[in-house]
Amino acid sequence: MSIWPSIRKHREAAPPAARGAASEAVELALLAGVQRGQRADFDSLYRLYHPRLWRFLTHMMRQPEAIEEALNDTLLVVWQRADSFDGRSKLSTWIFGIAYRKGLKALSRQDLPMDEGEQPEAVDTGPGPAEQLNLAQLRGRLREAMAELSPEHRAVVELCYFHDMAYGEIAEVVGCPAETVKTRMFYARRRLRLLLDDLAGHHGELS
Amino acid sequence: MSVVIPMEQHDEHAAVQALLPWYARGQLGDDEMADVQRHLLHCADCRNELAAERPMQTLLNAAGAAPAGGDVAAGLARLHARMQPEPQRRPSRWMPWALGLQGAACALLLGLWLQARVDQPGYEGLSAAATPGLAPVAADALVMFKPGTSEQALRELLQAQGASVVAGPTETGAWLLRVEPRGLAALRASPLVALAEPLQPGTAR
Repeated sequence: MSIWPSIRKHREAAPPAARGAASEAVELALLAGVQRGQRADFDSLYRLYHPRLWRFLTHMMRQPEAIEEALNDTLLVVWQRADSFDGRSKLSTWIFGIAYRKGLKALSRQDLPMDEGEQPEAVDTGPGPAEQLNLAQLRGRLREAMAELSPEHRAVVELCYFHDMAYGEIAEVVGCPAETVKTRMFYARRRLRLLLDDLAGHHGELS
Repeated sequence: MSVVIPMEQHDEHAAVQALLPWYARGQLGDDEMADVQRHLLHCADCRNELAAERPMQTLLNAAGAAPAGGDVAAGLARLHARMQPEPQRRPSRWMPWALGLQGAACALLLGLWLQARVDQPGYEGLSAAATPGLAPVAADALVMFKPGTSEQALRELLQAQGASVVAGPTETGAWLLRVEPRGLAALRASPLVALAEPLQPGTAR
């Protein structure tokens, strides 16, 4: 049951081909080929996952130069260790889990500041009410808000809002208890709500 | 390292608000769905939060689009370079079994061949005929040469090690030889030889 079915129609991210039971079956067939060492099947799986992982890693890592490496590190594991996928989770859960760990690992190599837990209060650095908020400015504001979140919090937002994952599945991807996922969502969402409130005064379309 | 901050204990509002994104997508289990609905019925604040889900998604869609989707072909090409050579795990997994099976097949053929020699004592191959007084002629070793080994190289190698052919090649490409232990050891060390195993218990004669 979808309380809010129309929300899906507004998405423009994750390709529709990557969703649904049929596409899961296709992905599993490709993985079976990868397990037999079929490069053509691996290439197909790569092309299928590239846009999804690119998006996920972009928003989680926020380090453009490190994204392709983390993405390729992820899919290299899929190639080398396809046998270790045991089918207990969805294939996408397994692959996103690898991507999540590769992303965190890349961030730690770069010695970037990691999550400190408590998110700081919103700082209004945006334009005043009199100014017009264009898309570039909107992006800037969102970027600032997301930058205040840790990679772990951003991952939860990204996996929920753009990759259609329920919190149980997200818990599998990030390897933590479901309650932790809910907690992260609560804080991440609160930060985004502050931004929404802030924008509401001069960007009617959003409210 | 992430530090999880526990939501305020017994804060039903926080618990409900944490679930709203999944509630809006119909992704909660029946029990949680019912819990959230019950709470929303009497809580205007949380209903207000639910109403914010749509603009939240709109904001993320509009402002959070991934910058330049990355070059798939170039990324794949770079990964291909890292995938060289082919993973070793696959051959290494079946090769010992294949060789084992091949050896077992050779042993079976050898058994059948020796049995046939007992059944047909009148038959003697050319090599066996060279050792009168030993009938049937037992082989000392089973040897397989690497693919592509020429007949001339094979002949020279056997001559150098004082080995003679008792039978072969079998269907699997194995040869049964009479050879001294030292010759067998030398054969095993030869780059032309894929497999050289003694057939007699203990050391070969």
